[in-house]
Amino acid sequence: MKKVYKITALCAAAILAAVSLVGCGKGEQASTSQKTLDYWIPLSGSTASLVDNLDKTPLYQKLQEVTGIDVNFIHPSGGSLSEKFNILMASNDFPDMIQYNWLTYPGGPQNAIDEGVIIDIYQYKDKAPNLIKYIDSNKEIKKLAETNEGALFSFPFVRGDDSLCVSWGMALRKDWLDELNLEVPETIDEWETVLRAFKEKKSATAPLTITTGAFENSQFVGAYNTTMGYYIGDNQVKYGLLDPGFKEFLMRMNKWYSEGLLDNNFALLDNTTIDANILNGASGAAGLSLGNGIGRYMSSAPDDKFDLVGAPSPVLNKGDVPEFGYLQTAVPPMTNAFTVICADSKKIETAMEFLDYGYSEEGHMLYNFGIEGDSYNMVDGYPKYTDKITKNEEGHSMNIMLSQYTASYSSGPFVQDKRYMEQYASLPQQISAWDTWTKTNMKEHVLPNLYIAADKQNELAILDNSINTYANEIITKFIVGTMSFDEYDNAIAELKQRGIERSLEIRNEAYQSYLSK
Amino acid sequence: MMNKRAARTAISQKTKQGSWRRDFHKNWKLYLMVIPVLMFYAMFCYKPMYGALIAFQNFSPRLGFWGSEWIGFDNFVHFFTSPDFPKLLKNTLTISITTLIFGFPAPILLALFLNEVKNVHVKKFVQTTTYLPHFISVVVVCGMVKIFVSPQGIIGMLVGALTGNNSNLLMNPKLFLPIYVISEIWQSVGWDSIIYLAALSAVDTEQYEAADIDGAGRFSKIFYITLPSIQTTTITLFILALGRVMNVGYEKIMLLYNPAIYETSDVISTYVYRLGFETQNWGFSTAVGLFNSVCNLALIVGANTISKKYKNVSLW
Amino acid sequence: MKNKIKKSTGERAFDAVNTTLLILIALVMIYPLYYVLVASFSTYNSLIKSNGFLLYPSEFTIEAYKMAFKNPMVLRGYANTMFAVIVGVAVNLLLTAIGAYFLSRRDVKLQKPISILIVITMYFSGGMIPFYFTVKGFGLEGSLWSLVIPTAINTFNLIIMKTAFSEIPHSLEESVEIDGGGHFIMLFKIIMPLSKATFAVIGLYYAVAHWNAWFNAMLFLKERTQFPIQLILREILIQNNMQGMSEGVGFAEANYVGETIKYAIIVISTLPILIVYPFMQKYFVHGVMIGAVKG
Repeated sequence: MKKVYKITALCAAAILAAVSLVGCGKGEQASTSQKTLDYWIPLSGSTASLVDNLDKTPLYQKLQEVTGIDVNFIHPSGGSLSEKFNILMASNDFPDMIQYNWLTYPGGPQNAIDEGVIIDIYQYKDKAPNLIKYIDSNKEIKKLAETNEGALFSFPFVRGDDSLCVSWGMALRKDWLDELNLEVPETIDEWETVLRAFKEKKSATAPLTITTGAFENSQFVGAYNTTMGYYIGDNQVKYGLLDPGFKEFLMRMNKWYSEGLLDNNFALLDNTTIDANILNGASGAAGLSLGNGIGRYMSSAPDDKFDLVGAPSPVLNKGDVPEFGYLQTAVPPMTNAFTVICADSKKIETAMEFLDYGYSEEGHMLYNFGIEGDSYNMVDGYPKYTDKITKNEEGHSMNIMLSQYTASYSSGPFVQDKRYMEQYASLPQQISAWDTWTKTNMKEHVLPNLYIAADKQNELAILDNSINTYANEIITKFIVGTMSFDEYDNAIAELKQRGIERSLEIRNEAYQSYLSK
Repeated sequence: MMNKRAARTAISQKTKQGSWRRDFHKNWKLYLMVIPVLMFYAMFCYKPMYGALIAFQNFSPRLGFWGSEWIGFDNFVHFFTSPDFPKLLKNTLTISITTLIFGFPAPILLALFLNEVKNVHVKKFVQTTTYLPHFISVVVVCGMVKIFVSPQGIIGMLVGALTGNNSNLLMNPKLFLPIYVISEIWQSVGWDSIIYLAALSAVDTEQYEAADIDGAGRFSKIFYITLPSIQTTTITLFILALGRVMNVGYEKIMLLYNPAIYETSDVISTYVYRLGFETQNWGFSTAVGLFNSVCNLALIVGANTISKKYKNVSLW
Repeated sequence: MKNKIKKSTGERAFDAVNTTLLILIALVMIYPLYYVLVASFSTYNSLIKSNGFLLYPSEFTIEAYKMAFKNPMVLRGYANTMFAVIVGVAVNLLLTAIGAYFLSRRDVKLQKPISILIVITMYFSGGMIPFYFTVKGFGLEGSLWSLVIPTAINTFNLIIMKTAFSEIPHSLEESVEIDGGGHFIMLFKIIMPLSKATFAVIGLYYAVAHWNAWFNAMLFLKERTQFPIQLILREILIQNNMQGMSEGVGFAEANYVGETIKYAIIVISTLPILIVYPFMQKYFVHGVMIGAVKG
């Protein structure tokens, strides 16, 4: 009998200990003041490499100080971002502010307003003077940020200059090209030659390391006069896979894949692996962003010889101007691009004040350049980043330092300043790549933010899910060769059966109402 | 055991059950005690069954159960007519039946072999090593699989050296099934063999001795004495396994699969998860889940009926 | 006695083949784990060049472990998992024992209908999405209790325990009733000591389940600081998210250690189980035995 009591006592003690352990953790969080705003905001990888909460970054500390508003940051983690966002939506227990790509909300942002999830900023017009002033004086931005019903659902992230809409493209190992006496490739055939040389002479195991997602940025596929997903052509919305050129593109990629020119892991690539591929010399070419790609790799180059060069979007015939390339709209549909205020919030006006600050003069400088005298100095009216940012003593890359002091390296509720990129992309490699990548006709093709009519949203959500999953699947299978090109017509037929034509119809309606805004 | 059971029935018949009132008067303490248990079942088993009614709605969490629009069987019709339906059904059945075909006999064989080993040390060693994988978490097992089959992993490298095709094995739709089944067997064969070993140890040794005298060989003893002696255990476990046919290990699949191999790896439960948590089609995904539950129930009842009829073994 | 009889050549051949085969199977089964151990002590570059098979570390190093321990989440995750295991198993055993005790009573009118209602849940459920909304509806989201309460009873284990309780001779129970003892005294003083092994085994089942669980944690927990170890492992091993792994390390070096951190993390996370393993082994056979005797 005694034993039983002993065991019971032991269990009880263990439970108590465990409960108190957990209890303590909770107490700390609950003690934050009730006047604070809850802000659900994804934490970028660069930021996370130094801190685990935005509250610890100089930028957000300063923001809270100048606005006099306390913010409690909630960072989603432990699953994909979209899962976490959907779980948040299902919880029906919303924070005051949410930063996310609200264009993906089922039924679109207008539906979120109609369901009473978020507010229409226009209803509190006088509380956001800076944003309203900016939007009213920029008609193009207004068109992109407003729903078809004329509601302003968010504090949007805005690219303050056309050149900022290009920040990604193809890049190659310059030192390898020089060593092998090769030019920067322009056509698909030249690319093939270069990649083959990388494979044979530099024993690169994955000469071109690129994710399936990266094809959406119109590289390679653009040469065949089409692109992945939806785009604008002949004044209407089109879908790449339905174009005849797409099959040729897939056949070429299939050839590259079977020859070992394309990373044989490409459908499963993640950033960690791409980093390793490039730095270990397993790859000689990749799709890179200006700062987080070229800039970061150059600063952590494994040896002195390591050098990168940007390549133009590939074309079929030498001398052609690329029709397609990477280009974002001025209000890009990115993860962190739209900050909304939830309708349930008890502190809507405080939240308006906090977010509107980003569109004021001072807010603009703070979000883009950080703290004057610390992260930047005004030199002849030009905000110049200090050495703390550009040549950090502790060895942190510029990308990481920017992520602590600014939001311009990614996005947020403000207008991005070109002068940020001028300094971030100040390496000769970056400047020339930036210039090369800008030279496309993509402006004619980029799809604006479409706001779908309320009665079609549910239908489109189900169609999209079915179409996207299938499209991704067959694209990978054709490239890898697990599906033969004999089956191509069947695959397209199934795509139609899944309702691609209906999806285009709905999107074209939305596009027409966008044009008539 | 039979005697005990008979005795028990006798007792329960003797204590003639009285009226409800007498029962409550006598057992109210017991009922009070079991309330937490009943609450658990009400809250976490029956409440979700009721909640599954959102399968007939265009459910929006914001509008809630009472505010969402009722759309009848639309979600089901949509699912059954979608091109995904045959694929999902096929994958679910292929994966679980293949696992059953290879995974079910494996522990029986292992137990039979182990039973024949007379050397205690060998037996102990084999048991220890084969039970071990059961205690490694699914996440770690899948993590190991992912690392091993990548081009830089041990299996990836071996396959690359043999075939010259050094690509990630998890990108090839044809290979998902073997990868899944083999890792499943690796993890469970030892642990599952324990139950058969236990059943085998209960076999009457006299039977073997009698067979020895008759001059029976090892194999004939296995076929005529050992195997029949574990028949009941085998059938019971088989029915239970059949009941899980529609419930493939979705946690494991979720950890292993990727869009490139959805064709062979996407099963009903992973589809439910993606539709719900990745695209917020809550009503639709609930409908798909409900379909799965109903199939499950039908399967187990069916299997049990058959086994009851022919072998007189039943779960309830 | 039988051993005295001389074995035929066929018999001996059978034994030899059988033993060799089994040892071979055992080696094949243990090798993946051994490989992980060996690889965790190797350098990444030598690992890539090794072409697969390894018997001892190529270029011995403990760099991967140094980096793995830099990740604060590994320890934090352990603590959370320990909460789920300790509190979870305690709640599991208490409720399962009460339920099993009730179901093993024979002279209770509602016993039959309740037992039917309970068994039904083994074969039919509302599905993942309604379950999620239910748990959320009870306000468990964002709390570590969401790892404990929604999984408080596993019906299969409940049935096993009920079977074990039913085997206890009725006379013992009657003596308590005559002494005027209540049900709790009966359960904790008579039945529990008599079925210690059953409790140990069911406890083991529950503990392994809690240790393995990640799915509910992913759905219900919000704060990273609450994550159990498996969710952290999922980030590192499955999603290849080395963020925080490379904390304080230049990311270039982090990539050179690369995959070997994963091996080290596997070893670290599996070691506790391997240490407890020998102590649990003696219960295994008993455990499945009671599972086999179906009620």
